[in-house]
Amino acid sequence: MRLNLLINLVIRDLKIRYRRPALGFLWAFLAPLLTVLIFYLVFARFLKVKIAEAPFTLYLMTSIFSWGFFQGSLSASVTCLMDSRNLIKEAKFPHYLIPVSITLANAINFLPVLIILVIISFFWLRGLPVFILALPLVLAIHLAITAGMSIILSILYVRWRDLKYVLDAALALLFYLTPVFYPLALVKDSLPRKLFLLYLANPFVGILNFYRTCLLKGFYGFVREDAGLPEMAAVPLIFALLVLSLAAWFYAKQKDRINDYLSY
Amino acid sequence: MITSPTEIKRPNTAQGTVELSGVGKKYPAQGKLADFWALRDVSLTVSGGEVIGIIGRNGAGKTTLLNIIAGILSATEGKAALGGRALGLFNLGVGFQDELSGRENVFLNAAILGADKPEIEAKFGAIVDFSELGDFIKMPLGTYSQGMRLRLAFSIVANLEFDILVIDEVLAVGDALFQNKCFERLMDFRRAGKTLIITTQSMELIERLCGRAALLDHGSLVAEGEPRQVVNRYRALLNSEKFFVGPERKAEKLFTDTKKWADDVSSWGQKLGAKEAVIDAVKMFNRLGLSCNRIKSGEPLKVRVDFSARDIVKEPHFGVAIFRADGVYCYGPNTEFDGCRIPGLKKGRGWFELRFEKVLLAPGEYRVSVAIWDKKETLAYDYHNGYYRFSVRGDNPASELLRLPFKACLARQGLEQSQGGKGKEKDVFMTNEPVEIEVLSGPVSIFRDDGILCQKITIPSAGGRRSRIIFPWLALLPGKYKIFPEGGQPRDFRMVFNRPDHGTVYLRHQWKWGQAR
Repeated sequence: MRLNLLINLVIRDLKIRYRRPALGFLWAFLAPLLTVLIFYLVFARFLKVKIAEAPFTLYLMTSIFSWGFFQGSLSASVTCLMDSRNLIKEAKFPHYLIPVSITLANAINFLPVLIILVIISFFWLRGLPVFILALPLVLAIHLAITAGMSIILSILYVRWRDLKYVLDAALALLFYLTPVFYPLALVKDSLPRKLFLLYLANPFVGILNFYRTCLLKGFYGFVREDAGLPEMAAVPLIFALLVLSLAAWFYAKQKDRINDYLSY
Repeated sequence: MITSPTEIKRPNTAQGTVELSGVGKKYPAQGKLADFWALRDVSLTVSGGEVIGIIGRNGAGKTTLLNIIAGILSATEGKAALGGRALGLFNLGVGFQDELSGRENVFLNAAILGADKPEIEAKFGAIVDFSELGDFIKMPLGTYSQGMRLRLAFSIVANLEFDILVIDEVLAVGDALFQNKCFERLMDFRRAGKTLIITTQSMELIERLCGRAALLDHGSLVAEGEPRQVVNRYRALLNSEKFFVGPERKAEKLFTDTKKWADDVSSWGQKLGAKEAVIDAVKMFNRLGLSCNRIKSGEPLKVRVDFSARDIVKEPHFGVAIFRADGVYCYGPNTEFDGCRIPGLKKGRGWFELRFEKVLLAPGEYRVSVAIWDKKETLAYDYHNGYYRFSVRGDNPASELLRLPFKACLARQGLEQSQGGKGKEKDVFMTNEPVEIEVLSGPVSIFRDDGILCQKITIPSAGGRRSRIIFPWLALLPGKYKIFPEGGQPRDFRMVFNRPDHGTVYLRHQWKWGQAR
């Protein structure tokens, strides 16, 4: 029903981001390409880091950009109701459209990166895994989790302004609890079996493995025995449904009170 | 007191009704502050097509009420039921984004207000036309003035579909032409049977536009009904309370500056004010007690003002201000500055008089403002701004402002500028202090800091010996001045005073007032 407003909010976000730079939306392609170049020079040429799963540059790229999308969305969303209070105080509309629009804008920003990843991966590994067909699914799950968390955080922040700093710390912790820059095998070798299973329960472990399975040819073989495709998809999917239900319940409970706290 | 809402029935008004029953809004406790009820038990029924004005002092709960009607805030208790789509116009298009162009903002804003894309596209031309922004619509909103923002905000709302429109004190910003246009558009809405709910401090707008008015005070509905009656009730309310309580003045403080210019020369000749007390007649009298507005410099002048109080007025104060024809503020005493406390005016006729002992102004044309103020000079009951004239006879070739009394004689010692008696050189003087100035030769000019010539003093040549100019009392009011001996170096000096005042020169005066039994 408020689809038009959501579209306009997403457009606003993207326009504000890309209006002034001369290269505009091209930066959504250029910025990740530059990062890839740096990673390649540092890790492949200079440090010569090698892991079994895939070329380290590719391994890092698949995780660092999707993590960036997640972290960027949450960081921008947490204060978004306060930031947009002028907008909110103008008319009655569902508040959650604002964090959702920010998540969507970040997702749109993330799409060029995925395209670049698919292309580089195709040429580097001489082909793509069949799981590439599941890429939309993992993206959808990731988006749902991010949007749901954004909604919850943005509402919480209206009442609890310490949240911004707590979130920064929590995201930093989560970053290390997720195999962004280290291989899963390293964790498996160093943790007892029970703790490792707990580690696998982190939905973002599943998300990252899922992204890599879809993008990196031959990667699935390394995680198959610990987290097969059903588990890999199920943990994040269940988590996404939980987060979305929690967001819906929380919003319904708080929606009449949010505006009271927006003035100060 | 809650008055029961009167039903005003109009044809084809199934849409656009607003039904508030026992609405209250509580803002939760913050730190040491207790819970705050911005609204309590407000019941109001607005029929479709009605135009209703909500009035009340700042902080009375008007905006909160409008927010609840527009659905932006939810009521803590009670119910607000609307019969149709409500749009709100608050705070000059608050949702605007400076980075986006006017056009993009129209689309975003209209989307927030609930319009879908086809509706916005269909109305876009009309919105731009109405806003009169022309090609500015392509510019980023950051480049717009406040007035342009308001025009755009009003244009968007005014061109969308709605049943109920809520407008919160926003129409006072645009220029007169656009205000007129807004007013006409509001009249169109009224004719089209839309429900309008407005708040404004313009009682004129309430009386012209609204069929009904409601008065809010401290979150409660205290009166409701025919606009004129409710507006009168509001004025009575304003009277009965102190409008503004500022910090008490400290007596020991020295004042270092005064107001030196009229606020706005172009508004001279206007009568302003809330008219609880009105000035009926102002007359000026010369030294012989004859009604006359031509005097000679240094002569007395009496200003007599007859007024009538339409209501009881608490702690008023009277003020008279004299300006030169170009807006230079000469002197503006009022009973508040002079410490003459007037406890209150009864309903009925009265008068006050201000008698200047010596008008130390140079020949020329002068304007007089006369006002009856509330205690803190925030609200004029009646204010005749630059409405009266008098002139000081004589020639004034150098365009001086003042004719301060002085004596000139030959100097005994080598001090250039000194205080009389003690003979100590200094450059800060108290208003009305005796001052001596030593100069080599004349003439000597005294300027205000902003370049206005106060007085040019010609002294007889003394054959190379220094001369002294003696002011028995230097009546300049606080501020910076320059003294300029011809052919010599200018020298700055400052005046301070132990009481506040307005203008350039202190003129000794007396107040009298009275009211018939």
